[in-house]
Order: sequence, then C-alpha cells, then structure tokens
Amino acid sequence: MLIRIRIRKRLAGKFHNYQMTEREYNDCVSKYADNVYRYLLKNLRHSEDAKDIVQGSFEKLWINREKVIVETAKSYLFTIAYHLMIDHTRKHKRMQYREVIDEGHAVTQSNTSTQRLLDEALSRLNEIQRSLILLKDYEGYKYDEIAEITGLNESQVKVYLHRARLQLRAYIVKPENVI
Amino acid sequence: MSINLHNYETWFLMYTDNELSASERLAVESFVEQHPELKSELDAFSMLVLTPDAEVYEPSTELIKIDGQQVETLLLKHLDNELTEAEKVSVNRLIAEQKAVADEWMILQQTKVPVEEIVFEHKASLYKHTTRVFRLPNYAKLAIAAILIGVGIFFGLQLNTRNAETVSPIASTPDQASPVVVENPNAENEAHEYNQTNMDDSKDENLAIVEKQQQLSNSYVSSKDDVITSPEKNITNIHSTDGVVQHKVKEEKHLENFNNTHGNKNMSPDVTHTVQPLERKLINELIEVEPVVSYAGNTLTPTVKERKNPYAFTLENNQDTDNAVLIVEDDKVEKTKAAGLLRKVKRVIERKTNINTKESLLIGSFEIAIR
Repeated sequence: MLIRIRIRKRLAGKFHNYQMTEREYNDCVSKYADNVYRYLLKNLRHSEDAKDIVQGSFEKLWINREKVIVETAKSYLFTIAYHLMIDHTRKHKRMQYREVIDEGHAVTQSNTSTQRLLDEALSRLNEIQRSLILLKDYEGYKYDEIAEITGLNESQVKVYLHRARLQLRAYIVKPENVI
Repeated sequence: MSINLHNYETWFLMYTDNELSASERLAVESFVEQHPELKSELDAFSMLVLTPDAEVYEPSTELIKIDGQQVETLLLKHLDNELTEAEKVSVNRLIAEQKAVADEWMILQQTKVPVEEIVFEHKASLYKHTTRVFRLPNYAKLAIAAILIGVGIFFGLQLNTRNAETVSPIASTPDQASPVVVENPNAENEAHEYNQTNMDDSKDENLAIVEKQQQLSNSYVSSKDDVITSPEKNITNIHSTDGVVQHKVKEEKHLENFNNTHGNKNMSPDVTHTVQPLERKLINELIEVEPVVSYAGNTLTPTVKERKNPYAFTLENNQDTDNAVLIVEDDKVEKTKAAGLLRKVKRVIERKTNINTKESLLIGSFEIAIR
C-alpha cells in the first residue's frame, strides 16, 4: 500500500498529469463528507455555514483533482475545510461558540453531563485549539499530519494541543463543575 | 553551676531539649522532687516539643520524570497516542504504581472528545457526473490509420489477385501475346468445335427464352454490319475479314474495365482483343452458372445481371462468322467495398498531395490498381 502510494505520488509529481477520476472523487464524497461536515459543525456550531464550507471544500477538490492523489484526498479536504473555516470565522466574527444550535441538529447536543461539560470547555478554547483537538480526537491524525493540514509546525501543534488539553482539564476539575 | 530557684527555668528548657548530660538530668529530676510545686512547670515545657507525623510524602506528578520528560507531558502524549511502545510501557507502569499519576490520567482521559455520528445529508449535491470524452493519443491514431491502409491494401491485392486468376488466361494484347487467329470458316479449329458443341448443348435449354433475349441481342448486335455500335456505351465491335472477332473500346472508361479484367494496365486505348478458345471455354463456364442465356440461331446472348461475378459481359456469336464477341458492360460491374475504400483513400491522397495517381494507388514504388 505504502509502495503504491509512493509510486503514485512519484508519477503524479513526475508527469503532472495524474487526474483523479470522477469515480474516485465520488468515492471521496461518500467516505469523507460526513467527517468534514462533523468537524466543521463542531467548530462553527452553525449547520448552514458548515454545509457551505463542505460544499466549497469539495468544489475545490474537484477543481484541483489533477493535483490530488486519492490517498491524500482526505487530508487535502480537511486542509481546505480548515482554511475556509478560519477565513469564515474571521470574516463573520463568529468566534463565540454558540450555545443554541439549529433545531434540526440536536444530534450535536451532548447527551450526558460529562459531554455537555466537555462541550462547554471546548467553547472556551480558541478556534485553532478547538480545531486541533477535533482533528486529533475525531480523525485521529498524528501531529505531523495536523501540522500539514493547519500549516503550523509540529512543535506548535504539540504545544497548542497540550495547552488545550490542560485548559479542558482545568475546566472539568473546577469545584463548581465537579458532579 | 548547680540548679537552684534562680536558674531552674534554663535547666528545665535544656532538659526538654535533651541537651543535658545524664548527671545533669538526674540533678534536675532530684530538684523537682525537692520542689514539687515546680513539676507542673517542667511538664508544660515538655508539651512544647513537636513529634514527627507518620504520613508518607508523595511527590506531585510535576516532579516525576521519565527519561527527562515530565509525567504530565507523557500522559498527554499517551492520550494523543503519540508515544512509542517503550514509552507506553513505562507510563502504564507508572500509572499502576503512582496513585497521583493514575488520578491525573483519569482526569485527562475525560478531556478526550468522544466521536459523534453526524451525517451530512446533502451528499447528492456533491457528486459529479460528467460525460467522458475518450481521446486517442497520436500514436494510436497513426496505428489505426496504418491498420486501415493495410486492410485496404490487403483487400485490394486480394481483389486484384482474384481478378487476375479468373481472367488472366484470356488476357492478351497485340503487343504481349499474338492473338490466336480463329481460322473460320475454312479451317475448323478446336475453339470452333468447342463453341459449336456448347451451343448445341444449350440449344434445348435456352429455346424457351430465345424470344425475350432476342430483343436485347438486337440492340447490341447488328447482323448486317460488320461494325456493331452501341450508342449508349460507345463500344465498337470490329469483325475482321478473316473471321477474327475484335472489339474496340473507345472510351477510357471501358478501357479501364477491360484492363482490369485482363490484369494489364499497359494496354493502349485502341486495343484489339480476340476471343480465344480457352477464353470462350471460361466464358461458357461462367455462363453455365447463370442459366439466363438466350440463343437465337447462331447467336448466344447470356445475361449476367444477377451474377456475383463483378464483371458483367455479353457474349455474342455472329450467325455468319460464327465468331464470339466479348462485350464488357461497364454499368453492370459490381462495386465492392474494398474498391470503394481504396478509391476514397486515393482521392484523399490526391487532394492532400496534389499528385494525380490516375487509376491506381501509388505507395512508394508500389502501385495498386484501384479498379
């Protein structure tokens, strides 16, 4: 598998004419649309904005399919989604984590008190820290992969993630939050 | 210095701090026995002495290090699944041994966001369905063109070979082969006998359709004139005085047909062709396949409209001379697909190269007759 990926990468780099097929693109939609949408929804807490960014991310993938190999399509999608989300939040000043979400997306509301507490703790993180936590916990990316997606270096990712974790921990162990 | 009522406090403090020798301690104790009112004061001093706690000190996680790394960092890395296998073993052992580390690990585990199932319901809007345009690379186009040309050449050669095999025995020109003069009517040769025999055999079979074919034969054959002219075809059949049957093709079109039939393209327009005995035999064999033959007197007129043979012709026998005339009917020649393809290729080449290849396809030094 690794060898095949390397060969394809090499071919893509050498000839610059490797093109993701329509079928491969549609497979990416089937596999990763849910993941990208969940990531954006948990970050933005606004379903319409999340849908718009998902749409934009896949549109960019389709436009740039000549440059993308299938094996790295997921990372590419998250990279696009991350940057679109950052642009979006900076543009619309939606930095505040929304407590009230759309009626049709009650699925994002936490069921247990621990989850609710964690959601509240997440809301107190900045968007970069929250993104890092979600990329790590939802998608299981390694530090270097997160660095590639977010454009940070690996050390920054590690430091930001650890700080975010300690902030979450501090919020959870507060006497008023202890159940 | 001995203990007395003026300095007993100093002795009592030193007694409490255990700073006196054994003899001095005995001196203090005997003094207290002599003055019992001072015993309560000595007990008060003794109560000020602190005793050590029995609790065990446990260091915090911040002070514990493994291979130079803080436990907290290791636990965070462990939570992020970024530890090596060796580090994992060390950290797990530490968690099992140190309660503080275990508590910290338990709290940190709660900061891990659980995965939720969230479905994007508008995937249909993301799918792409485009029509595919299959583009052949240049080398494939060249290969296909070469294959087509090859197939065309192959069928052209096949056609030529077949024609040559079929008709070449009768091909003869005045230049290349001297015509066999049919010595009629004085000298009876083999051809004449053969012709007569054939005609006799076919008499009975063809009597029924004589009348119908008579009209057709009359349109081509004039019994009065030696020169028979077809106004539509411009074909002149010339009967020589010594009985040799000749036909003259005036138009080039007819010449082409004739040339192809005989496999000789060098024949001049004023060609004179003599029907030879062997030729007659072959023609009669062809006629036998198609029974539509009319016979009137000494004239045999087979019609080969429905024949699969691409060369339509009419064989006529003159009553007087008993000679046969082969008339190639150009409009009855069947056009095969292979020949059509070659003609098209030829036209394209002529247009592109502005070279007139006339009636043949010239590839290098190799020339192929189109018809």
